Amino acid sequence: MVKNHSLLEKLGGVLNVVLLAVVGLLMLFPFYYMIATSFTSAAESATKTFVLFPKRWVFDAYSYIFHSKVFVRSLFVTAGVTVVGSVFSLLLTSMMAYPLSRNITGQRFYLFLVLFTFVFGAGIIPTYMVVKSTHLIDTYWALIIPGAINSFNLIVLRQFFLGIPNDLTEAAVLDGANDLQIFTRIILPLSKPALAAFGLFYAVTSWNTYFNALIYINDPTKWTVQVILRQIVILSQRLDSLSDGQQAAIASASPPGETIGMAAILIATLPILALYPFLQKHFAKGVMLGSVKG
Amino acid sequence: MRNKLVSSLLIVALSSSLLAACSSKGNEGSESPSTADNASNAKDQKVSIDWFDGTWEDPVPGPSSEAVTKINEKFNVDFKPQYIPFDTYEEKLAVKMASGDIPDVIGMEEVDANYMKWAQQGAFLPLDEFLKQYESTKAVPDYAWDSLKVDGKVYGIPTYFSPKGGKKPVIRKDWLDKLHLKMPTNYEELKQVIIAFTKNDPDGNGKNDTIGLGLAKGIYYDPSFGAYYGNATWYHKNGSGQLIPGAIADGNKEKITFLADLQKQGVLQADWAVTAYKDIFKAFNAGKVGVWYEQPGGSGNNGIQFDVLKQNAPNAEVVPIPPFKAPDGSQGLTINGSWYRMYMISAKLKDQPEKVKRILEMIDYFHKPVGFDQRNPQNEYFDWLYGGEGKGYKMENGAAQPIAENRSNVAPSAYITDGGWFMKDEDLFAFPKMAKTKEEQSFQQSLADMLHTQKFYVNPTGRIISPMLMEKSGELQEYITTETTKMIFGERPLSDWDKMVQEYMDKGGKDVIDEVNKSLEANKIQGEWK
Repeated sequence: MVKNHSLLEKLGGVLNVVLLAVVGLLMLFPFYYMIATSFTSAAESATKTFVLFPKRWVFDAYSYIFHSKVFVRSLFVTAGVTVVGSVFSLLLTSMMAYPLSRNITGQRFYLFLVLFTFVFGAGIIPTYMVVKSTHLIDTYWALIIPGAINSFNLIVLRQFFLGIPNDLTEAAVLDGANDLQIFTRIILPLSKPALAAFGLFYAVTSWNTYFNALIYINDPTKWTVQVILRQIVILSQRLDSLSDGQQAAIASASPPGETIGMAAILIATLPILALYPFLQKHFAKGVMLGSVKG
Repeated sequence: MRNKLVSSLLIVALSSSLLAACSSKGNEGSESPSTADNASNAKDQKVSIDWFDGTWEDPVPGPSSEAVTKINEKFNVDFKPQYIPFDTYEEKLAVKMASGDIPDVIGMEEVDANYMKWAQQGAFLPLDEFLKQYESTKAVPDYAWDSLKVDGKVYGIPTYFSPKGGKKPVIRKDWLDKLHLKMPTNYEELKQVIIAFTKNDPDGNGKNDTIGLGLAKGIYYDPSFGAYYGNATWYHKNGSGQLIPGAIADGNKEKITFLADLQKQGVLQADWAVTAYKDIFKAFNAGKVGVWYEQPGGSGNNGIQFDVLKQNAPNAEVVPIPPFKAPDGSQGLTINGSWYRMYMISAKLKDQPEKVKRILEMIDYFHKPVGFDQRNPQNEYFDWLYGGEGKGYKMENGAAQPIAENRSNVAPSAYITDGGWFMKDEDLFAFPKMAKTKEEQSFQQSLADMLHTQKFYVNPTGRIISPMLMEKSGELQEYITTETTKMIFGERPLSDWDKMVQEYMDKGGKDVIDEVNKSLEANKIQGEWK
């Protein structure tokens, strides 16, 4: 501890802490509100507009969700797609980034192809037709293969590989290693921070798979949690968007309450949120290392 | 399953660089093209039907379930349904249609610009000649068919219901009685009632905590008391004899003047302009609101909950407010839409009349009306539609309640919409019988009585398809809502009314009015009372 703080500095420190605490609380508050609402009984939320401290904490919403097979199954689907998808994406991305970081013929051409996709996308209908004609519709691969390589990630990872000295690989060649051995034994182990960072990027993207699942998957049992989640949340407010006559027509089926929507959002957010702290340290390091070397 | 996995893996291996290059033959099971059904036609006339539709069912009905088996057996078909939640359905449908992957049957919620475009491009089969043959379609009135016509031909089969539903203004009669007031018959009287409701402690708890008139963000439920005052009703005519939307007509001006007056006197809830309409329902259920809205049959969690209201205000008596007599002598409510959800058939089936017939028979079968007093296990048809008592639904106080978690698995009506909404005025009177509490029963009875005796104005724009109206009406209505909200708060003077109307015209309102009137004239349609 340094002792010679002036009063002003101390005051500034206190102010800083108070200010940051307030900002932090502001960030946490919506989460708390979601938690509180998800534990409120349906009867209480029906008469109150804003519940911060439920009279009684009930688990109705959670038991509804975990009894609805659809939601639980969709969680497993998403978890599976996330794990397989991120590993697959990492593998493809690094396998493409590595050769592009070495002196190979046509390197500029391939790089150009990658950069081209930064500017021009195919659009949804051609993409759909490709997925359809490759018979991927209604398979989980439709969620994994299209967009498996993110060109931005590819470029950054290539920068990272460029930073690994050529001397290392040359030494390996002298020892009789082939390209695949160099890649798996030397390059990949050295790139753990970068791989962790991009693994997290890919995992979050996979976890949030929504539009692709909606467009490519017809069988509701294969939908990801985001599709189901949106359905649950929208169902609880769908009447807003309908005209009077339509409301009259579908009034018989009662939508799940706000509490269920909140509970569903929490359940769908927590797993991927829980990943962050574990990958945080790699995360910062990995992205930075990749970006600094020119 | 395993085969699929293996072949999928193969694809992955093949498609390392260019996905489009690969076409695998080992993967036939995953999705069948929509036209591959001719082969099966031969044996027993069994036809396979690709059925693509949106749904509000939760969980979403799957492609293989007990209900699908039931439908297959009943109609001797191979029913291949695909359902997408309606809130995202539009996007997926658009992608499917654009890529030429058109299913045999396509469902939509309502007529939109896409419907018109696809019909004009020849994606759907014109159905006029078929539709005269079925009971359920004969029951659909002309003005409903009008709304589905593109270039004079009908392409969609609507799920029709009697159009008297929808939210209607209601009032706390016990408050009227307590303050010795009578039912208001015009805005002036209503103003006095609302002032009294707000200031004279109608619930007698000694606190100033009541809301006379429920008003929500965006003037969500339009406080109109008849066709003359309706925002979206094309009732009034302008100087050159054209019909114009209610939002810029005299009726709305009177309504806004009334609201601005209440605002000036401080009677409206202070934060109404940012209050969600759902919160007003909560306040109503808490017994704090005097005038609000509800519909025949009730609306569950998104409406008045009479059991909750009874706990909070044991003496509450809710009745509808009859429409006011308008300055031009008219008196009556508006009919807007009279159907919800429709089916189209792919034009690819034009050489397969047998298949088209089978599809139409199926839709007709599902659209047979069942009176509310017939909705019980003894009615075989209803029991089949709803998946059987104890499986798809259960009886509670004489009313069939769907069992939510089973329904989409066992009930055929979760797949193909039934015409199970009320079809005739008489069915309005079944609602009181189904009511759960005595108070709700008496409310439903008084609402049915009122709707049964009222005249209804058929909104003429519901009978034509105007692309301009579909494109612009939301934006224009929002503009009027914003400006009139300002007027109520006094931020914009009421004397600016004509100027606002002019702005509305300049923002595209004039084009809309011109197009609508041209189309009305071409189709010989006028506004009429029924």
